[in-house]
Amino acid sequence: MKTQSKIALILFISNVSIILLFGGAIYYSLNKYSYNDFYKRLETRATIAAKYNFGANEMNVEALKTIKEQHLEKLPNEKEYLLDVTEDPGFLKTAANYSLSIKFLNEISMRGKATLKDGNTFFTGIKYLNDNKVYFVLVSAHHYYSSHHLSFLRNVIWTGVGLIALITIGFSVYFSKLIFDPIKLITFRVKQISTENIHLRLEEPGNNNEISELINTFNDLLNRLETAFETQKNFISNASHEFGTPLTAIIGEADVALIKERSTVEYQESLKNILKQSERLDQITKSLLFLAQTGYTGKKIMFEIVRIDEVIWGVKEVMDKLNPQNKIFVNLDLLPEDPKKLKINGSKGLLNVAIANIVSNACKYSYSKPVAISIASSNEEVIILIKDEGVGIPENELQFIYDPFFRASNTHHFDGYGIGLPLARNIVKLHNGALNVMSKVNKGTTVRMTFPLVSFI
Amino acid sequence: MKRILIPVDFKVQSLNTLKLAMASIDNYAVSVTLMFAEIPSDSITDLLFYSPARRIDSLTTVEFRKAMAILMNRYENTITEINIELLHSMSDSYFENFLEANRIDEIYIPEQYKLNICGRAFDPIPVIMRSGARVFPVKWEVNRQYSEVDMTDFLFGV
Repeated sequence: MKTQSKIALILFISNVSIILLFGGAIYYSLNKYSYNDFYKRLETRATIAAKYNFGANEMNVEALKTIKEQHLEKLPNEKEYLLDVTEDPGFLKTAANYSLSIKFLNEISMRGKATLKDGNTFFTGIKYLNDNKVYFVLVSAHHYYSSHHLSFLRNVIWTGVGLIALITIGFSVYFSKLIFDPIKLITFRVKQISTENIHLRLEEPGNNNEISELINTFNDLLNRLETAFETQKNFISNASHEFGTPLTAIIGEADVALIKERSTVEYQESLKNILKQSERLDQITKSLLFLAQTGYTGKKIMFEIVRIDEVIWGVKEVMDKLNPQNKIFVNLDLLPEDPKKLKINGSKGLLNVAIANIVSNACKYSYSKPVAISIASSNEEVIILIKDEGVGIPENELQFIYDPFFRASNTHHFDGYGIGLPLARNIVKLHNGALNVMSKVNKGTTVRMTFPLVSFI
Repeated sequence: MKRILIPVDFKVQSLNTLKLAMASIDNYAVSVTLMFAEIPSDSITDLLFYSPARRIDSLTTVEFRKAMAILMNRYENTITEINIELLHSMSDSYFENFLEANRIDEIYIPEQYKLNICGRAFDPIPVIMRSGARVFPVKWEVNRQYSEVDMTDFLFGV
């Protein structure tokens, strides 16, 4: 059964049963009380009747009779039974004469008083002893309240319960619809979203409740999916372009060389070009493989305790050897005094690759203007800032810089495949760190890397 | 031990005062007091439940605390402690008492950087200049780049 119907049913049943219990309780307790009340009234009359019928002196009798006639109202169908049962031990004769139950008479004899209800007639009997004689005084009457008022109450309660049941059905159904309609709407909208129109989003309602939280979560999920799809599409198109270019060059070179007979020198030139392009292709393939490996780690990489400042000095040394004109400065302004605050858990080789990539980018894109590397540590992490004064990255392209093979629009003068930054980012992520890039066109770029300290983990 | 006072506004850039101050007093044991100037609230409940620790807690940001940690780690052997105190009045004698209570020896103030004043905060520089203590202005190239997020980067390259 659908949850909506279940909720409506549960609401309805619980409401109606509560009302029924309530009504029933009222009716029952009123009934009980009115019975007891009536029996007591009958008992009063029986006592008074006993007193003035079998009582001692004349004056008392007259007084009692007056009291009874003037102050005790006459109950409907009131009858008095004055029975002398001294001579009738088994009460058989009395029972037969007055058509009363023997059990009732026995009870009066044993307990001194008893009550009986015969249809709508109520009996109360008391035992009265006088002059060695045993008298039973019974008073019977019709209980008007029972026959009329209580049945009226019973009808009212049933009508009430019926009406409430109707109202409750309506309310339960409405309530369950109210809760489940937004959910049904979301299901309907989401069904429409597929890979073709993944840019569709759910509309957010104004109020801040659980449903709008659900909708927001869905929209976030769709955003992430869309980004992932776009990244994949970009990667494939970029990769095929990058592979295609050197292949086209190789094929073109070979084709031109074979068109006609050429000199040995020309053939050598062609082969040299083909070799260069092939090496480039080889380099791209290796980088891509490396990127794939670090991005999706199949095998475990050995981690050890690495001093990050040593890695940086190592990178600077290599860069200085490769390009003596570069101006790389390591800023020790904020270097922590405690060497423990420079130790991180990682792979020295990978960290070298990551930092070397970033630093070489910084040098490359700034025509060898000064590059500043700063190191600092808070208590939980080490922060490395690599700042250059180069061409910068256009603001609208900042979101794409981590896409493999992406190259910004202002990089035409520079060599590169577009693999360095995504690679560095993967490596940093592998080390549970973070990589951040801030840039302003023609002003410079700042790359911030943070790594968690060993002592903190 | 030398006790120095640095006015801050809980932005990372204001800690450059401390960084440059430490650069010039390298071989002492230094106890640092960072001071934030703010007129206290005058609501009864705030006065009744006044707790400077709680107020400072609500004013410091993650980035500011990180920047403080960076400086603590840089000058681990020099700086013995960094305390944050609140200054609640612009009156000169109040400030003199404040200096005496915290046994301040020297005050370092930013020369070009303007402390961020918002809410009930006020600029303590005039009071500082009027006081009799030794005041050293420090200068650095102020990063006017407006950034929504305060970053520890503002501590670097200065």
